Order: sequence, then C-alpha cells, then structure tokens
Amino acid sequence: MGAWILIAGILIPLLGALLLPFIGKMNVKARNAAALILVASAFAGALCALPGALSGNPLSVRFEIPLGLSFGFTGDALAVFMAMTASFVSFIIVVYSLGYIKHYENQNEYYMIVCVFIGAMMGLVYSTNLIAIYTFWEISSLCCWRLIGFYRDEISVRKANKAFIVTVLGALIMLVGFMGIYGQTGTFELAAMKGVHIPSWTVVLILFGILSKSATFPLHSWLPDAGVAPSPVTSLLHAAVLVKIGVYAYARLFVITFRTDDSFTTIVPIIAAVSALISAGAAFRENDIKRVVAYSTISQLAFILLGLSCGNETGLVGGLLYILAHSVAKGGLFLCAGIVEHTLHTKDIRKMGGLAKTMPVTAVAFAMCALSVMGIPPFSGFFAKHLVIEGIVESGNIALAAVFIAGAVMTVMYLARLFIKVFLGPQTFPDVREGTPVMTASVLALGITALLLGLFIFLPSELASLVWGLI
Amino acid sequence: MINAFVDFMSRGCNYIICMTAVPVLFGFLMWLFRKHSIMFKIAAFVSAGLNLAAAFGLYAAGDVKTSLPFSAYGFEADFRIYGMSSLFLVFTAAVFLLIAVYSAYSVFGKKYAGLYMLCLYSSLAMVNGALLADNLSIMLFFWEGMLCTLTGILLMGNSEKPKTAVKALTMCGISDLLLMLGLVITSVAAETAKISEISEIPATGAGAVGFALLILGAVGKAGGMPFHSWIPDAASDAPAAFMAVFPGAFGKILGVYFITRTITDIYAYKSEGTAGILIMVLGLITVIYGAAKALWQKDMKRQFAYISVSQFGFILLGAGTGLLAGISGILSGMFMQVISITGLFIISDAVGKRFGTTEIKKITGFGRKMPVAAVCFTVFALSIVGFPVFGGFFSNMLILNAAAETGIVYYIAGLAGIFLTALAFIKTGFAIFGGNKNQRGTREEKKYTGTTGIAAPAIILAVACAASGIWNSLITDNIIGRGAGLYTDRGGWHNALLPAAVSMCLFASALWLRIYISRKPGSLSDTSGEKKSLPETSVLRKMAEAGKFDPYNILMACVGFYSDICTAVEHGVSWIYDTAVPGAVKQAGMVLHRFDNGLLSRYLILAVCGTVGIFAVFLIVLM
Repeated sequence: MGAWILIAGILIPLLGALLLPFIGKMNVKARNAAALILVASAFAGALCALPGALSGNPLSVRFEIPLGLSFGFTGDALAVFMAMTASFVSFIIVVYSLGYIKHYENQNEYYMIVCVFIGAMMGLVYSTNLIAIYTFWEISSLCCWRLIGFYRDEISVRKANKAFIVTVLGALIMLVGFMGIYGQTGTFELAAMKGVHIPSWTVVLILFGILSKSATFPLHSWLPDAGVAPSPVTSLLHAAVLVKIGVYAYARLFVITFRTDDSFTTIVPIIAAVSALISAGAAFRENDIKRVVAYSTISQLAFILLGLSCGNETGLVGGLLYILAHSVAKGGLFLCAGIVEHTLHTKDIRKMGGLAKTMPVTAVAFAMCALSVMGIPPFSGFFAKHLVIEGIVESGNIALAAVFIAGAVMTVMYLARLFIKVFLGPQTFPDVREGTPVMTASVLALGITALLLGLFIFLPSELASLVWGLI
Repeated sequence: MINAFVDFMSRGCNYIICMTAVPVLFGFLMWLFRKHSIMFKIAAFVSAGLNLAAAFGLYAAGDVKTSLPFSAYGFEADFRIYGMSSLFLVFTAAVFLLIAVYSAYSVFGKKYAGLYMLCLYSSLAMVNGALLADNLSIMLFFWEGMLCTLTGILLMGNSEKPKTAVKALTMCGISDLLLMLGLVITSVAAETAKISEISEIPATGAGAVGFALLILGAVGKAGGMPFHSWIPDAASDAPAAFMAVFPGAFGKILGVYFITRTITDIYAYKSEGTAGILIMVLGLITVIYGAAKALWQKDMKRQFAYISVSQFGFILLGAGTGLLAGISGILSGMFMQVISITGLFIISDAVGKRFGTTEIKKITGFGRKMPVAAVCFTVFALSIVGFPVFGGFFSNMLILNAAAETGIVYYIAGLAGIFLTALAFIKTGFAIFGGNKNQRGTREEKKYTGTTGIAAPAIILAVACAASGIWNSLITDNIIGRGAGLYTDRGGWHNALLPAAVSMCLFASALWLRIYISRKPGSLSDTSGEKKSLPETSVLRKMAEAGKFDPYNILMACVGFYSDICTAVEHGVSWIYDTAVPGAVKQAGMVLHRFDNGLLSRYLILAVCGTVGIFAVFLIVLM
C-alpha cells in the first residue's frame, strides 16, 4: 500500500493540474490554493517515502504491461533526495508566483503547466525504467517550452523554441543511446542492468541528452536565453527542476546503474571544468541580472557534474548536497532578481544601485543565497563545494581541483559584483519598495533555508551518503 | 569552585558550547542592548570577561577531546583543547576583553552599533571554533565563516562605498579557497582529516602543493602579501574599531596559529628546501614593502595598516627558518604584534575622534593634547621596532637570530625592514610631538567622548608591552614556550646585549636620517607627509599610488581580460545556435524544395533513401 504513495506523488500534481484551468475559471483563489496543494502533495509523497529510503527498504511498485514490458517506481535514497529537493523549492516558487504572476494573462495555463512539470519531475526521479524516464523527460521539455514562451511575444517564443529544440534533440539522441543499451541487454529496466558495462558510443549519446538538459557547455546556450521567461519560471527551470534532471540522470545511470569506460571519469570532469570556467567568465561581463544568474547556474552545474563524475563516495555526496544547496540558493537568487525586475522594470544592472536601502529584505535574502552559492560557511554551499573538491582530489586529479578552485574564485567575484551593482552604491531608484509580502517572504524563506541547511547539514548528508550504498 | 568550573569546562561538549555558541548569544544580547549605553558597555565587559574565564578554565583543564554526535559526511565534528590551542584561546580572550570594551565605547550611538557587536562576537566564536577544531574541514568552516562577519562589518556605514568590502571578500575569499584545496590535499595525503592524527606529512609532490596552499591560506587570513591590499583601504573606510579587531588581532592570531601547526605538526618541514626559501623571501618582501609603504603614507590609520602588513613578514621570516628559535620568535612576535598593533589602531581611533581626522599633517602636536595616547603610541612603536626593554625586542631578536642561522642575507634584509619601520614611526612621532603653530591652527576639534573606555584598553596594552619586555623570560619560556610545547630557555637578557646594541644603533640611525633629511628642503618627507620624493622613485611611487602594484587591481585586470575572451566564446556559441544552424536548416530546406519537382521518380528516390537510412540506424543500434 505504501508504494502507492509514490504514484500519488506523481499523479496528483500531474493529473490534478488538468483541473486547474477549470477551477481557475470559477475561482482564482481556489485555483491558487489547489496549485499549492498539488505541489505540496509531491513534497508530502517524498516525505512519506523518506523512512523507507533511510532504512534501506525503499517503497517500490512495478507494473507488467503487454509485450513483456514493464515499468515501475521506487523511492530509494537518490530518488527521495531529488524529489524532496525539487518539490520543496518548487513549493516556495509557486507561493512566490501568487504574488508575481497575478497581473499577467494565461495564469490558468501557467499553474497547470507548473504542476505538470513538477509531476513529471517526480515521475522521472521515481522511475525504474529507461522509457519511463524518457517519457517524463520529454513532458518536462514540453512544459519548459510553454513556460519560457509564457509572454507569447516574438522574442519569448523564439527563445522557447530554442530551448525546446536543443533539449528535445538532446533527448532524442539520448533515446538512441537507450535503444543501444536495449540492444545489448534486452531490457529497459534499470535494476536488470545494474553493473552492466555499456558501450562507449551509447554513453556518448546519453551524455548528449544529459548535457543538453543540464545546460553544459557547449549545449548550454538555451539557458541564459530562457531568462526572457517570468522569474518564477526561470527559477523553476534553472534552479529547482529542469537543469537538475540532467545531473540526476547522470547519477542514476552512470553512477548507480551502468559501468562505463574509465576514460569517462576524466572526460566528463574536463567537460565540466570547461563549462564552469567559460560560463563564470561570461557571468563576470554580463549586465542582465537574470543572465548573470543563469551563467552562474551553468557554472555551478559543472561543479555538480564534477562531484558526481569523480567516481568516489565523497564526490557523489558532495554532488548531491550541491544539488540541494544550489536548488535552494539559486532559486532564491532568481526570485530576488524577479522582485528587482518586477519593481524596476529593467534587468540592466548598470541602471540599478542602492536597492539595499529601499528593499532590505530582498537584499538580505539575495546576500544569503549568494553566500551559499559562493560556498561560504555557515551556508550549505560550503559543505557541498568542499566535498566536491575533496572528491576530485581523492580521485587523484589535483590540477582539475585547482581549476575548479579558480571557478569558485570567479563565483565569488561575479556574485559580489552583481550584489554591489544592484543593492549597494548610490541609489538610482529611491522611491521603489519591496515586492509583495508573499514574494519577499518566499525569498527570505529560501535564504534562511540556505542557512539552516548549512547549520543542520548532517540531516541531508545522512540521506545523501546512503546513495553510495545503492551502487 | 575553580576546580568545579575547570571540571565543567573539560566535560563533553561543554567547552565547544561555551566557546562557540555562547559568544553568538552574547552578540545577540549586545544587539538587544544597543540603545542602552550603560547596559551595552557592562554587557560587553561581562560577556568578554566570562569568555576569558572560560578560556582560562580550558587552559587549566589540559588535553581534552570531544566529538559532537551530529557530524555530516566528511565533517566529523572533532574538537580538542591542548597546550598550543589553549594558549591561543586565552590570549584571544584576553585581547578580546579589551577589544570588546573599547568597541562598546567606540561604536555606541552609531546606527550599526548592535549589528557591529553581533558580528564581533560571532567572529570571536569563529576564532574560538577554529582554534578548538581537531578536524581540518571543521576548522575551515570556522575559519572561512569569518568572511561573512568581516564583509558585514566593512559594509556597515559604507553601503554607498562598498569597494573595500568587495576587495576584502575577494582577497580573503581567494586565500580561503586556496586553503580549502590545501586542506583537502593534506587530508587525502594523511588519509584522515583529524588534526591530532596527522603528523609530519612529507612536503614533497602533492604534499608540497598542500603545504604551500596551507601557508598561503594562513598568510591570507593574517593579511600578508599578496592578500594584504584590502587592509589599508579598510583603514580609510571601515569603522576604526574594525581595524583593531580583524587585521590587528583575529586575523593574525589565526594565521600564526595555523602556520605554526603546519610547520611543527602537520608537515615535515625543512627550511633548506625550496619551500623554506620561498617563505622567507615572501616574508622579507612583505617586511620591506609594508614598511616602505608605511613610510609613504599621509594618514595615520593607513600607516598602521601597512605596519601591520609589514610585521607579518617577520612572522613568515621566523616560520621559514623552521628552527625552534624561529618558532618561539613567531609565537612571541604574534603576541607582541597583536598587542601593539591593536593598541595603535585604538590610538588612531582616539585621535580620529578628537581631531576629526587621522591625516598626519593635521594632527601635529597632538601629543600635547593627548599625552596618554602619545605615550602609548611611543611604547607600541618602540616595541614594534624592537627597541630594547619592550616585548617586541625579544621576539625580533629570536626571529632575526634564527634568520641569521639560516642565511646572513635574511638577517640583513630583516634589519633593513626594521630600519624602514623605525623611519615610518619616527615620521609620525615628529608629527605627534612636533609640528608648527600654523598647522595647529587648522585643527578641527570635536567633542571627544568615551575617553575612559578607549584609553583604558590602550593603556593596558601599553603596560603589557612594557611588562612583557621586563619579564620576558617568564613570557617567552614559561608561558609561550611550555604552552606550545617548545621547552627552551630563550627568553631573558642573556645573549641579548649584542642584539640590543644593534637595535639601538638602527633606531639611532633612523632618527639621525630623519633629522638630517627634514632639514634639507625638498627632502624625502616632512611632518606633513607631503614629500618630495627622490626623482628616480617618483614614477614608481605614482604607479603605486595609482594602485598599479595592487594585487587586487592586477587580479581584476586579468579576470576582466579572461572574461572578455569567455564572452567572445559565448557569442560564438550563440551565433552557431541562433544564426548558423537555423541558416543551414533553411538552406537545406531550400535545396530540398528545389529537389522536389513533383515527379514520381523523385518521390520514390526520397522514400527509398529515407527507408534505408532508418534501417541503417536500427541496424547500428541492434548490432
């Protein structure tokens, strides 16, 4: 019976979302409440699966379908960790949306797509089957396309198309890789393929999909452009859900399930290093607040990929904690950027300054999230960054660790630059005020969460360290 | 009762809570009392006093280890109190008592007073935590955590001029990240992150990299070159109390503590190798550069900031020797430097409050108006330049003796650094006790508040400076030597006559040079600080004043250049996605459109090619 909680955690947001437009036509407040409940149900589902994951007896369910095929869901440590992270941050983002999105058209569609998106994410992380993973993957791409093009103007649609084409093309190439694995093993079930050594060409094809989804150089270009979307959307895509799908798939497939050539433990970190450094450099010169944060996402995702790919427990735990720390902190940064943009009607940081005086709560929340992304204690990012660097040094690659330290230095520099340009210095908009209470409360909640996660890092760390046992 | 207290402190995690969590609570208490003058000051005194009592309790408790039950993966919360850490802990607490009282008087009434004290006490918690940590990662947690409070204090009252805060964050952030890498390499090499289980890792191969990074991290925390450039800027922008606390005390304490541990415990360090030479050369460059810059300064606070940087060079010089005398010297030197430099910054704050400026040319003759401050200044300055009788003399002597054993060049260069430092102090001393009447007329006198709270710590520090010279044997051998496990007999006056003579000669030469030069028109410097420098140095000087040699500016220029390249690459990639690929698709579409002429044969060819293509893909996949 308990295993059905997983299905509920997927289907409630996924199918419940279809009702939202109808509820919205009758009562806007009811629709908002329903959207919150749907997202909360995903978090509640993950929370219910937590004891099983911690005890090593995860909730699992499996269905046989015609043609000898099957699919199933499991709530193991990795799945629950990802589900809790994504659904928690998504919940805050939806709360924030209540204040942000209320002036725009297409709200019914917005909430519906967001809930479908979160349901797809839940489905993806719990899935035990490659085809199911691919299906949810593509649902998320569709949602991403609609959400990036939310404003429906020409530029938004063009950028949405770009994101859609890149991620879907990547996914299709990945599907060919899945077919290749099927050709070798005769199954799509992950459990049946555990420990199987897969050919390098399939790894390359799957990596194509993963790197396009997790916006890794040179397949990253869609991510900064996706900043045309409303801020809750960018936060959802760039911080909490979409980009984490790629790194999750990496952990699920290449860390836990398959065995690959050793060369990939060198190649992937090098790709990550290039991605981290180039995007950090670009962030330092960028003047669009959301693009700076987007480049930062690309750079930080490379740290996550590095942790997951260095082939030892320390790196894996570091990478997973990084996913959590980054989701919370980067979600907060995007939402703060949203408040600033929403209030000032510009994204150009050269026109901003001194906002800490008029928007102190947003400034404090932004600073807290930025410190976490920089990896400064006591914020959660510190622990994650430390473990990732330790993981790569344990794998014997000190030079690569040094490259990532350079990336971390760049992170400090571009985020410090962003903060002073926006919140410090002479005031350029003396008459502006904070965002709505619900928006400022949301960003403050994420900032405080980043701090609390650091002070109580042993809690997520316990779950993350169980993932190594799944191998 | 004392025994009961010592027993309480040595049990379980009591000492961790008392030394790390309680100071933060005290910080909040100070924040609550930020508008009540008496309570604010009493709370500062009482809380810092309790912290000192707790530190003494731990000092008496001996070697105690504790592990907290809630450890995260890779961050085992191990703590240990033993000889060296308890010695540093007590010293930190003693200095903090003076700093807390001084800060309470200095910042009370300011808008940021409560927040400042919260940051100050949180910093104390971080320093205590770093000293107590027995795990490299946990130590880094506390160590790097100070970045938040440091940046926060620098931003107080400076939100419109945040450059110094960003500079400090960047430079300290870099050194902390280097330290992180060094710690990781060290713990991987030692196969444990528990400090008490790490012993004399060979400083070769990866170990050499780890060693170098640990030293660089410690140098960064202590404000040594090349991470120093934010300190003089902070002297101009930050609250004066900040300078006494961070560059003056906390940074130095942590930096010296970790350098000592790295050289004596963690790595098997030998001064004969490249590492030793590099550390000593870096130390000498720091000594001479800092002292030379101090000589050029027109502002008292900036001058003291450069003196602080310069003095850390002596620590590196002593550490680089790796000799017992050098290690004793750097420990003793750290104590004396913290006392003297903290005292100097307190005096500069008092002067600033009195005259509304710390610009040297505007405070000429302040010695007559503030005789106590002037006497304290003289004591601190003489101690720093190693004038016999004061504590600084003995630490300088130990360091220079160790340097002479390693190589006479280091000794001579060290003397040159002291000579320049003496020149800088004499320049300021002339301003304090000299000056002309016209300049006195331009003073902007302000109501001076908080005299007792600011003067008392300065007087106590000055007395400590003098006392540590008089009872040097007690301090160097009994307290520092035994506390740090360096059982030597290096204190006292025996064998000190020759160094004393050398020191006095140096000071006399500096004094003579200063008097000689000041009598020549257009000379190196007059009391106003408006120098007419030697023609050959003027270009260098202008470049230095423009920040051309500032490591931060050089770094920013390099990062800017690198970012331009990255931006160009990024534009190239975007062009491929936005222009090249859509263009190619469009062109391909047009070609296919032209190919489609409506004839059946063409459709058949297309259908066959497509089918073959699909089969080919499946064949490849299934094979």
